Amino acid sequence: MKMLLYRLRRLLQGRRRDDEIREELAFHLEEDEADRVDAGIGADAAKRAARLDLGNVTLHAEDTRAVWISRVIERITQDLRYALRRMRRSPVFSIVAIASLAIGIGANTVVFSLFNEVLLRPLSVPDPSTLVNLSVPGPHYGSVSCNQAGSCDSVLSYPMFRDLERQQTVLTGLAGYWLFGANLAYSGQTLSGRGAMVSSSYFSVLQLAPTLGRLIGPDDDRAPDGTAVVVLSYAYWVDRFGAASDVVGKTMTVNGQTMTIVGVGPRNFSGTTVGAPAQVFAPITMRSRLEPGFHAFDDRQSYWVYSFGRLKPGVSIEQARAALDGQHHAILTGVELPLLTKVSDDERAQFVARKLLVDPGAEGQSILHRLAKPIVTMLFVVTGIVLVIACANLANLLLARSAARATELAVRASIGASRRRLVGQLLVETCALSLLGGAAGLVLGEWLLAVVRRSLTPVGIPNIDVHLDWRVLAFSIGVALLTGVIFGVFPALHSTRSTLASALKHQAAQSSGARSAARFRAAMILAQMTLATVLLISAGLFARSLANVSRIEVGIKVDHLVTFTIWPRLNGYTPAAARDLFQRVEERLAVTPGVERVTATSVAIVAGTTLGTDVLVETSTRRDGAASNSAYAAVGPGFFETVGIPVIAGRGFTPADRVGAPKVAVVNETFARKLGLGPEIVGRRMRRGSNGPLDMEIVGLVRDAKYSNVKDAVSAVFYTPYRQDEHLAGASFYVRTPLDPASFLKTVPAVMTTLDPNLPIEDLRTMEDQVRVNEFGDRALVTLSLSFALIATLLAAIGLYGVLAYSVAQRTRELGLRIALGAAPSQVRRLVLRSVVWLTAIGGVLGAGAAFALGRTIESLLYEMKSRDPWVFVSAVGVLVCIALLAGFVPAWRASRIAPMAALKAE
Amino acid sequence: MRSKSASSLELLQGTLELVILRALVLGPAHGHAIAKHIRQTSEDVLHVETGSLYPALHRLESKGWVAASWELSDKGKRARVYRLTRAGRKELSAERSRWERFSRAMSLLLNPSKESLS
Repeated sequence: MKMLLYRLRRLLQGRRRDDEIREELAFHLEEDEADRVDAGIGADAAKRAARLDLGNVTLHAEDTRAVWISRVIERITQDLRYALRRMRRSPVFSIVAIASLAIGIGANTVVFSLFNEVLLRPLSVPDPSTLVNLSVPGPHYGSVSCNQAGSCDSVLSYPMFRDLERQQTVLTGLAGYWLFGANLAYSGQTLSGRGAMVSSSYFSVLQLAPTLGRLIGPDDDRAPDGTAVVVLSYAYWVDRFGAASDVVGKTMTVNGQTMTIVGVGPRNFSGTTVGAPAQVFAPITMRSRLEPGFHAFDDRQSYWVYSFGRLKPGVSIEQARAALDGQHHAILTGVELPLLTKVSDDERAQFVARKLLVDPGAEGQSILHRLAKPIVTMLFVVTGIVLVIACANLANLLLARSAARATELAVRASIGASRRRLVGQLLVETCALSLLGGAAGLVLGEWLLAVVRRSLTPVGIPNIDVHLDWRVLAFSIGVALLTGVIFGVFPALHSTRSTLASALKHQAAQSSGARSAARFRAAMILAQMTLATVLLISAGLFARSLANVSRIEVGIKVDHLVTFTIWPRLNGYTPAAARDLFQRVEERLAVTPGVERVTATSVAIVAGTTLGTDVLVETSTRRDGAASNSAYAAVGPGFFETVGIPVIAGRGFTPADRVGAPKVAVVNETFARKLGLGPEIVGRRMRRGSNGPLDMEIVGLVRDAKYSNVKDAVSAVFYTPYRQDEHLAGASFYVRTPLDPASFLKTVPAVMTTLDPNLPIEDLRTMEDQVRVNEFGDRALVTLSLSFALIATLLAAIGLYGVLAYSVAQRTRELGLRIALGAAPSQVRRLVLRSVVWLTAIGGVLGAGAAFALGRTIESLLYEMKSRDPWVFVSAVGVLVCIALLAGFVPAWRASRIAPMAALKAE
Repeated sequence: MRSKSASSLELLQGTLELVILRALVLGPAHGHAIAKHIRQTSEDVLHVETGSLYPALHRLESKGWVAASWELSDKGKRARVYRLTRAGRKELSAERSRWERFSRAMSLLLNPSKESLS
């Protein structure tokens, strides 16, 4: 290695050459001066004259050095041409090497780019490293609302946020915001989108400046209801308004409210949440007007404000943590604790012990950070392994080739090529190979990225703006280059040291050096087999896990069912008008051709939404009733019949269950079990909320069905008729059709236009797709890990093939001799395949062992299964053996067909 | 850079290298000695610019026609001394015959004999 570095330095000795040239010129000057003195000119005059004669020394030095530089460039182009010619002459070698590298580099770059976008990329705001996020984990009492901006531990109550905002001394400012679904109407067309309601400090904490007009300022969020002003995000302004410069001062309708556009946000900024870009920004105090039914500005038990701040210069995050937690604790004990009346002393202690956490916030806040982390990390490890395998392939190929080229190099050295020249040429060759691999990897990466983007869009997963990351691309190509230098140049350097005679001898008879090289290649294959096994096993585990997930009984009949959602309250409908609209949608769809049944619900099935409340039910065992928490949904008449949830006892809802009629509810099995209702369920009375009379009668019991997510355990759920519900902002509809549900999708917008053309229709898809969307994470994991595992195995197989083919070529004489002495073709085949079987078997066992040991780390990603599934282990090793034997068969077959005479004459 | 005395001439493009190689036939020499030799041998007609001399020497070295080494000059200073290589010698004879044919052709063109005019 030291030798190699020395060589490289000699090659790049620009500095030393420069000094030499200067010394040479200085000597020239002295000589000239001495000549002039000899000729009888005075010393001073001689010096001047000589200097004058010499002219610009620096320029001369430059010119002289340029001779060498142009020479180096000339040589490199010459070497490059030679390298390309060689590549063309051995196309299999080149294609295998370049393809291996392309796959390794491409996959690695794409995954890292995703990783970077989701987990690492800082917000595009000035100095993101001083931003901090606030969160308060621990028990909450009251209502908690959280969304894409982060976990439910991150939200504060509005009064708490304002208290902290007033007090803070360690931060330059504290910002609060809430992401909301927005129906955005401009010039007669309404589209659904997303907005952020922000405190006036939001933009100043982020230190952002508007592109046009102004941002949300201090006067906008003084009082509840706020000022009806809106700031457009840059991207939305370009998309929807064509970047019109006269947009400031115009009005648009957000959730039915007329708002004045006061400005456009900065470029590249669309909020602080990855995967949930905001199109509009409104004052946080507008929430009561933008979200009908909200009025919790004074409620300390209503948690919904996400907040972040910026550290003052010189304040460390630890100092901020201590200071803010102190302030928070004082408010908790002084103001909020007295509000907790109905909880035990234990719970009070837990409530007060909650810590306010201050975490680095350079990347903003997003649930994607938490959700995607294990998956993306896993993929990163996997692609890293693929890159290693690809480099091992390159190394093996280069080693094999440099052994084959020992003679060529020795001959060239003997006819006068310097070692430096030979090494330089080999460097150029491997660099060319690595760079071509890198270029192919770039193309492959762009393609993969397009596939990733395509697979993300239809399922409504987040507009993640992913681009190839140049740094990773450079890193991957660097790794490939290094592999090339170590495995391509080093052995060649070694072989140039040997004399021509010994090199020619080595070529004729296998030397001990060749045997150690063969051992090294075998070790490389072994490592590839091991890694491929690990990847195959993990892919198998994910595939089985997905199979488990898709076997889950959703509890409804998902076939021939179409769903969509509308939010009329966000379009300015009053609660009564909205309810009216829901009824009309049901009625209109019911008479549409191709519709068997139709119904609605306030909570879409398996769409990730949960609405929960406290309930109290009278029981036979407890006089004061059993209290618990339960999820609920307000549903239309015929809901259970339409989606296919069997009614076990009592009845479902009918059109008669409407406002004015006695209040009724239907509960599921888990609800009955959780509250200990016993066998007589129908007829009991219950209430929602923590106080008031028992005003609802349970009229039915239904079978359990999945509620929020396919993978979640079924929770306790009670259903009420939406026609008795006062506040319903939106509803999801379910249409059962005997037709192909995909073809029915077009019918829905046509029907809805006749009712209200301005109402955006969301999440229109078949129920089967909805389930698939809900399982998206699992599906993506399986698809990706399976494809990477197959790629890795394929690469390992290609490597195996390359090494075997090479060793068969090397052993032509030996094998020919064996055949001449009477070995049957099958015996020769077995001889070659024996090493394949050994390498694969050992690799498989090592890989299985590694997977066995590492299994724990991926268990959290698996659904209802252990990481040590014997089935998966056995089939992974089986696949590996099959592919390896397939790779080994061609060289083995070729070996058995060697013509003895030709083999003996060959050398 | 500076004005030249009318009597001195610039070397023709490409001939400098030939002249240097020729100078080195007499034995190894450093750059200054080569320049001096050229000037004196050409009876002060041909002056070699320092700005052309050293690039030319290094070009010859990079082509392998001359070899350079650091040696002590007669005054005891470190000097870069150039000597002709075997390849350089071959190049010199090839280049010399080429030049001779060229100069003969030139003089035929400029001083035509009677036969060729008629």
